[in-house]
Amino acid sequence: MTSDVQWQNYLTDVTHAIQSHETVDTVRARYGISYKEDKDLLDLIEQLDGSMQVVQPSSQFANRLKDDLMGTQKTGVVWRIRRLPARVQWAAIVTAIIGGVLIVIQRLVGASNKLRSEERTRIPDEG
Amino acid sequence: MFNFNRKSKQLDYKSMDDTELVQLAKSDKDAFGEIYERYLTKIYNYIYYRTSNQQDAEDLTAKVFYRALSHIENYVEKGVPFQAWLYRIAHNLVANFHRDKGRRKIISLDDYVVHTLKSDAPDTQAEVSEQKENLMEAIHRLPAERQQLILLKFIEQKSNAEIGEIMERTEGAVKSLYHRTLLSLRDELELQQLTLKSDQPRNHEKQG
Repeated sequence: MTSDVQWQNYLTDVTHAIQSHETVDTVRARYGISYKEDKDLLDLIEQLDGSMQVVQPSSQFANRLKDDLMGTQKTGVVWRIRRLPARVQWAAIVTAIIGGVLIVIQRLVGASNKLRSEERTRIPDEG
Repeated sequence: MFNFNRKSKQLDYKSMDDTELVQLAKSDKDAFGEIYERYLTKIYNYIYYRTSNQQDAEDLTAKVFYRALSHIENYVEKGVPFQAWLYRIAHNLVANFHRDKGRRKIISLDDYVVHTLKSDAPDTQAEVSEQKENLMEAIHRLPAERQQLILLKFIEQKSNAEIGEIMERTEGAVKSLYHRTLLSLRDELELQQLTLKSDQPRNHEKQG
């Protein structure tokens, strides 16, 4: 008959064997435990080993928390934009492009207007 | 004059053991950053499996590290590994979380399933069995210290001696607790099976 302490040691060793992908037969033989005696507990340990997987925290969460903890004072425009949601980032990019185009148009229009007004002022002088 | 207090070279935090790192972290935020890198995943997993919810796990993990940062100055080593202190903070915050919710957290494992499906290889995780859900529900019904033991054993794959250091118990006590935990988990699963079987004929009757 197997005592409680022997069972406790057996369960520890057999869990280690399962986690290390080793055969459990040698552990069983060492403790003189038959298949019938431990089947339900062994199934349970195998189930636990298969189900309990390490879950990685998202990198976004990990980086943000680290920045907050370390009190990193990042103030760059690119860094600020990267922290924004994707939709806002797209809106910022589109706004920047439209803004750029408007500036260019304004300058071109301004230049041509200037040229025209210069031409107008020059014609009466020549006449 | 030369400023002798200035660090003359970059410290190699990665090669330091926890004791050295904790001493430095009392006045050096970069050292605390290394502690954070070392224990983020462990603490996150501990909380994640205790709450079964990604959002709660993130909130509580953040609280653990904020609390650790604000109390690390007062941390005194008493022959117990530093991680035991972090796990203690996490354990208390999870306990408060469940108490505040006013109920034992027995949740559908939808979040858990979605997360594992996202994070793991599709071939191994494609079939998330009912058996797995039942197991997780049964684990959630265990007392907190037994849940902690299961997590440290199967997620962290720690030895009984290491678990004993974290849970402030002897190695023998951990072995005994592990034995009792497996037995109660087995009984819980058997009970679940019986309940399911007794519910099935009733459902058939309703449908008929």
